Amino acid sequence: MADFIVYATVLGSIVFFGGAAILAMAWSFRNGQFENFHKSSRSIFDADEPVGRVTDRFPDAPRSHGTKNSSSEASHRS
Amino acid sequence: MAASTVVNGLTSPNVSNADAGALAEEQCRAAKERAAIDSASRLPALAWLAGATFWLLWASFFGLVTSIKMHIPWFDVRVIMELGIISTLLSVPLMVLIARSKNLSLDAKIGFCTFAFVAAAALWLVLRTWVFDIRWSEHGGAWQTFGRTRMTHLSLIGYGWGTQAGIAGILWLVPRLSRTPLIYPNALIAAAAIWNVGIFAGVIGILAGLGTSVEWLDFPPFVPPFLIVSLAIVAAWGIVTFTRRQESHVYVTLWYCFGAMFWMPWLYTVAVIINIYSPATGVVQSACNWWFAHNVLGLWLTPIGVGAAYYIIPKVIGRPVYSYYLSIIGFWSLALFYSWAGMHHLIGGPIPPWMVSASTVGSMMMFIPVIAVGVNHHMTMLGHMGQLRYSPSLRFVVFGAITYTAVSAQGAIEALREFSEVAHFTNYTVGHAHLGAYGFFTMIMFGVFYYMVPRLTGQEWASSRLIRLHFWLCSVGIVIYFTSLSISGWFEGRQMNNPDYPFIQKMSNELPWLICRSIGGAMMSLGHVAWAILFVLNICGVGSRREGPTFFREKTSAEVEAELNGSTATPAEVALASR
Ligand code: HEM
Ligand code: HEM
Repeated sequence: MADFIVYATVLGSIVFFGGAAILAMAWSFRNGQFENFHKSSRSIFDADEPVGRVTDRFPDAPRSHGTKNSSSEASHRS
Repeated sequence: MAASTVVNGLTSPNVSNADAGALAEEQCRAAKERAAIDSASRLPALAWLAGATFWLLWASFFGLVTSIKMHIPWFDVRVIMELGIISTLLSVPLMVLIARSKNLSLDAKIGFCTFAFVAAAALWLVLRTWVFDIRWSEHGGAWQTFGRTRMTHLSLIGYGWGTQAGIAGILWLVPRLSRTPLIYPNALIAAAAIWNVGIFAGVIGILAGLGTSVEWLDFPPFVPPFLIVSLAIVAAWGIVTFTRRQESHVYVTLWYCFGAMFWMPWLYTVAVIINIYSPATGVVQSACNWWFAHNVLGLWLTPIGVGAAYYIIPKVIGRPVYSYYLSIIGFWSLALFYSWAGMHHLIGGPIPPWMVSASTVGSMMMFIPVIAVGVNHHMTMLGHMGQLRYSPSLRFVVFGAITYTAVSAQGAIEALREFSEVAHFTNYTVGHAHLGAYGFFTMIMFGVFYYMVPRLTGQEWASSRLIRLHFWLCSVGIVIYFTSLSISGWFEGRQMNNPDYPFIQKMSNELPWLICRSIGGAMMSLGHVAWAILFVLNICGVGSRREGPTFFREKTSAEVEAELNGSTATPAEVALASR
């Protein structure tokens, strides 16, 4: 009996996880998640923290380091 | 494109008047939106993080005790506890005086307080040894034997620190990336409370001898219901948040976070049923055990760590990931291959060889996501390595990201039968375990928190020096830990495989390396104390505020720019002036 439960759960898990992964992938295709990688990679930036803006520094670091490279890198696309 | 024009707008003269105004407005809106989202995450994320930090200290304590017992078997934990309590009592009055003083800098205060504590401890050691001549009547008790302290360490690492740190990170990352404020904060705080009650009961249970001895599921049977309820709340929250997201692009970090939140509750529940409540019998149980223990690393801790790095690195240096395509490949191949690999923990064990072979293949396939992630992070950082000097979060996260590649390459090799013949059953595995769970996951989580906490509390970190101390203690500590155990483990394995080699000789060969491990571990533990101090100071509002007069709003970058130029103009003025 215990063995039956084990096999049932393990097989069930495989079907469940595998099925979920396939459904998720199918959803992403239909939803266009695989279409515009350029835009997706930029979705974490906004007008206030644009590409080129360095956003972290030690609390007592001289201010200039925080934004040192900003203008030179704004034009730098990768 | 809009993003780069903003920056150029501040410096280049040929942006039109109206454009500059609109940009400044958009900039304000973006800053406000982000601040509103962060402020909604504040209490739940900090609640989980507070629990994580608390148990991190206890986990380190039990790890250290376990480690010391391997080379000083008669070591009695009660001495440390007594030392801790009495030196605290002796030094607290002094600390209050120091903290009240008006003309000391914060760094000096922290330094003097530490000194007061150490001096009190030294004083008590002298008194108890030579003046009062105190002896313990017996050495320790069953609760502080290796078996129980190790179980406590591992459970606290996995559930007290690792899981809670991961959830704290998720509760901040997911709303930010979905661009929707966190909902149901009270349910999430209640989940944190339930979780911590469970952990507390579990630790007491293990120390009382009720542990199950199923690795990674050591908590006594009355604990899992707490954890399952709590995980279910978090997962339900995740699903609702996904449907409410405002950002149409599902950024790669979100994939990892949602994947983790989806896998973990199911994994844990099933694992508890088939290992604890209705245990599979015999060999099948070990397979079930390692199916879970492996996936809890690979489908829970690893995605959170890797996903967080995919957010923090680009965000800190202000540059999109090198190849978004590679990052997506990395996610899907992890999702497809990782769960096969569990049986590589049982190489040479009495399970059907085809299971092991399948896992070895799965482990090799893991080179795909690992190389994808490694190359991607490296190429993103290229040309920005200089930022490592200025950004605490970046330092921790990059350390962790590099370690991820290293530990995974090492792991894939460990999954080969010939290699495992030597390395399995030795300290080599423990070295790998810490390189992964510590050098990779824990270091990345520290980096995330250095970025996250100030944005949640609106409070800068109190002391750069303490952050640096934290980083160096932990990074040097883990290097010492890993190197000594890897060397020791390898020779140990070779000597154990040689029937002519005297076992006792092999044991004594290990001693110096075990002492090194205790030294490395002590450094890591001290680093965690530094982190806990920083966290508590931040929560208590010591240090400078992050922003100007408006409550809880981040500076817009135009304001930062204005400060740099020494003026206090508003964003709109800056934008106008830059015409
Ligand atoms: C694809 C990459 C990886 C592979 C192929 C891999 C492979 C392995 C193998 C074969 C073992 C068993 C060694 C033995 O018992 O002889 C092991 C143990 C372990 N690995 Fe990994 N590893 C990988 C990545 C990681 C990562 C990223 C972490 C951290 C989150 C990690 C944490 C651990 C831990 C904690 C153990 C010890 C488990 C225990 O005995 O309690 N590994 N790994
Ligand atoms: C957040 C930090 C830490 C993490 C994530 C962590 C993680 C782990 C893991 C996953 C294991 C199981 C290893 C295995 O079964 O192969 C373990 C065992 C152990 N850890 Fe830690 N650990 C941490 C900190 C420490 C510290 C500071 C020490 C102090 C020396 C320490 C000492 C030990 C010892 C002695 C064991 C038992 C090894 C054995 O069974 O032979 N750990 N830890």
